[in-house]
Amino acid sequence: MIEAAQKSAARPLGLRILVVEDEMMLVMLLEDILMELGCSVITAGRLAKAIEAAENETFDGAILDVNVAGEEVYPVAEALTRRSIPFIFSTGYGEGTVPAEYGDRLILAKPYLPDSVEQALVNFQK
Amino acid sequence: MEKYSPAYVIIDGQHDILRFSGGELGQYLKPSQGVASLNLLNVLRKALRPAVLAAIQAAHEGQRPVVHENLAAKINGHERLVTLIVEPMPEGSVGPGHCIIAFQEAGPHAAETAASGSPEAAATRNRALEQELRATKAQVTAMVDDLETTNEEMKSANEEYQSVNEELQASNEELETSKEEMQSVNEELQTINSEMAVKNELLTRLNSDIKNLLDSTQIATVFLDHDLRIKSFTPTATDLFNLRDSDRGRPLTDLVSRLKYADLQRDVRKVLRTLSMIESEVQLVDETDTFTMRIRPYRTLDNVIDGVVMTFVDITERKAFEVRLAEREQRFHALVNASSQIVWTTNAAGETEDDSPSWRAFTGQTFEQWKGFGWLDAIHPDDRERVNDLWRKAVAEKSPVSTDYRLRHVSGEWRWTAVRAVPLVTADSVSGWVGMNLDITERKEAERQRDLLLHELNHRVKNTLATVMSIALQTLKGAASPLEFRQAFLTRIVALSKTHDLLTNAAWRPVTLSDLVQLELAPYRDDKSPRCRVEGEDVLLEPRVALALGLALHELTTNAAKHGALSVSTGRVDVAWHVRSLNGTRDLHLTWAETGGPPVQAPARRGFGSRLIEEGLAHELDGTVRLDFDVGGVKCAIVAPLSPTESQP
Repeated sequence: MIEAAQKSAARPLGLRILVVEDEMMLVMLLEDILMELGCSVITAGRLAKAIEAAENETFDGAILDVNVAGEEVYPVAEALTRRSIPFIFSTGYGEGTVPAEYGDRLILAKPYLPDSVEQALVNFQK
Repeated sequence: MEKYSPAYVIIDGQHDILRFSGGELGQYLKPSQGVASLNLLNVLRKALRPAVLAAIQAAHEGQRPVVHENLAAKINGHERLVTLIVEPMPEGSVGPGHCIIAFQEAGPHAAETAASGSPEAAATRNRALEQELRATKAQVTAMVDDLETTNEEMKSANEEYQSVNEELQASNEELETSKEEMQSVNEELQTINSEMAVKNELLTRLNSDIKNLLDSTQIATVFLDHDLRIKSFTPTATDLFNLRDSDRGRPLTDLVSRLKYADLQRDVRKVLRTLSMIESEVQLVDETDTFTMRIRPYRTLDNVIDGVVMTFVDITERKAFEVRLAEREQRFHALVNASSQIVWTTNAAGETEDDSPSWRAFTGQTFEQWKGFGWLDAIHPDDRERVNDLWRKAVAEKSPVSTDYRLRHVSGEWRWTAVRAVPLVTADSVSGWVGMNLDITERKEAERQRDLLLHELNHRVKNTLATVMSIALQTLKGAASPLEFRQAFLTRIVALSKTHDLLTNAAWRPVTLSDLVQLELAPYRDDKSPRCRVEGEDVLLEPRVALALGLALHELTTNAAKHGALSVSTGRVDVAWHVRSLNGTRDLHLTWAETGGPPVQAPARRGFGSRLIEEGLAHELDGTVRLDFDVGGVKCAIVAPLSPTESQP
C-alpha cells in the first residue's frame, strides 16, 4: 500500500472515475486505491443512479460491477459506449459472464490488487 | 341161247352194274386200274366208254332204245365193228335210270375187209365208215353237251365260291377289327391295372404316413363309429382310456376313463346329431393334467359322416406357462404404471409400430402422430436432429443408446427426459427395441439450481474475500500498532462471520432485523439490569443488506463498548425502528441512541467505523445515515428504502 502510494505520488493519473458497485466495502476499497492513484471518484450503488451518472456526469472512465444490487450493469455500458467513455468490468463471477459484444473489454476479477486497478486505468489515458 | 343172244349188262342210274350177262361180254370189258368198282364206265374198254356214255344219255333223254351200229373198237388187238344197243328199262319194273346195254359183234373192221378189194366190199366198207362217222359225231356232240353242262355247273359253282369267299373276307375283316379292339381294351386294362398298382402303393404309403403322424403327434386320438364303438386310437389315447388293442369294436361306454368328463357320451351324440365341433378343456380325475378336447364328425372323403374323432391335446404346461406369463405381464404393467415412466417399443428398423399409451399420455400425440418416426415431432427442435442421428446410429449398430432430450408435454411445456433404449436380441438378430423415457425435469432444474448456486457461491466468496481485503486495508490505515490492528481486524472478521452464520441458518434468505441486532448486542445484554433495549416491528432484510447493516452495527457496538455507553455499567443503548410507508415506497427508520455513558468526544480523525456507517452504509442501503457524536451519547439515524421482498414476515 505504501509502495502503491509512492508510485502514484510519482505519477498521479489525475482521472475522474465512475465506480458502479453496490458492496460498500468494495466501494471503500476502490475509493482508497483510486485516490492513492491521484484520481477522483464518483460512486453509484444502484443501476438507476449509475445510468444517470453515465449519461450526465463528466468523467474519464468507469469501473462497472457486472451485478449491481441484483441488476445487470449493461445499460450503463451502453450509455458509456454511446459517449465513447472507456470502461472496464469488475466481477466475482469470473470470465465468460459478460456478453459477446463486450468481449474485448478488460475484466477486473474480484478480489483485485491495487496494481491491477492501476494497470486498467493506464489504458483510460490513451 | 346165250350163244345167240348178245352180251349185255344192266346198270342203274349211277351207271353201277346190277347184272352181267355171260358169253362174249368179257371181251368188251377191261377194268381200269385202281379201286375195284362196278361202275360200268370204269370196267368198259376205254375205246367204248365215250360211245356208251353218249348212248346212255341219249336213251335217258329219249326214253327209247338207242342203237349204234358198226361202232369201231379195237378188241384184243383187232379192229372190230360192234353194234351197241342201249335200252332204258320201264320205270315201274325197276328203279329209275335203269337200263340195259347190249353188245353185238358185226364182223371185222372195213379196213380189214377192204383187203379183199372187191367193189362190193368197198361199198360195204364205206357204209360202215359212214356209220362209224355218224356215231362218232353223235358221240362228240354228246361230249360237247356234257362239257358245256359241266362248264356251266363249274361257273355257277365258281360264282358261289366267289361270294362265299367275299363273305369270308368280310368276316375276316370284322374279326381283325374285333381283334384290334380287344387289343386296345387289353392295353387299357393294363394301364388301369398299373395305375391301380400305383394308387395302391400311394394309399399304403398314406396309411403308413397317417399312422406315423398320429403316433408322433402325441395327440391322443380316438375314432368312434355311429354306435360309439371304438374304431381305432393312437398310442397316446391308451393312457386316457385304459385302452388295449383288443378294445377295438367295444363301445366307449364299456371303458373306464381317467378324465373328469361326465358328459362325454352326451357330447359325442350331440356332435353326431348337429355335425358341429365341440371343444372344451378337460382335466384328469386327479386334476394333474389339462387337455384341450375336440370332438368332430368323421367325414369320409366323399363327405359321408362315419362316426366321430376325439382328440386330446395336453396343455398342462401351456396352462402353467400362460399363468406365469399373465403374472409376469401383470407385474410388468404394475411396474410400468408405478414408475410413471414412458415405455415404448419399436421394430428392428427403429420405427414405432405398437401403441405406447404412456407416450401418448405424456405428449398428447395421437397414435397416428407417434407412429413410424412421428415421435420425433414431439422432441424439442434444438434436440431433434441430434436425437435422430443418435437413434439411427444406434439402430444401425444394434447397440443400446441413452441420452437426454426435451419432450413436449401435453400441457405445452418442454420437459427434460432421460431416454434409454436397448435392442431386443433373439438368436443373434435384433427383433425390436424397447425404450424408456424418465421425466428428469426436476433433476435438470435441480442441476441448474446447483450450477447457479455454485456460480453464486463463487461470486460470494470472491466478494467476501474482497470485503476482507478491504477491511484489512481499512483497519491497517487506522491502526496505531500491529496489536491494535490484530484486535480490530479479527473482531471485524468475526462480526462478518456471525452475520454469515445468521444468513446460513436462514439458508441465505431474508433474516429479521431483530435477529441481526440481537446478534451484535447479545454479549452486553443482561436480564437483571437491561443495558440494551431493542424494539421494533418484524422486518425482513435481504442478505446483502443484512451483511452491511451487521458490519455497521458491529462498529457501533464496538465503539460503544470501547468509548461509549457500554463501557460503563450505567450506560444503555436503545435500538428502535419502524417502517413508514409513503407514496408506495416503504422506508425503514432505525435509530441507535446511547445514554448514560461517559461524555462523548468527537474523534479527531474519521476512522473506519465512521466512514463505513456514514458513507458505506448509506451507499449500500441507498438511503441516508446520520451519525452524531453528542456529548450525552452517540446517536445514529438510518433511513433506508425497503425492497418489495424486505417485507413483514
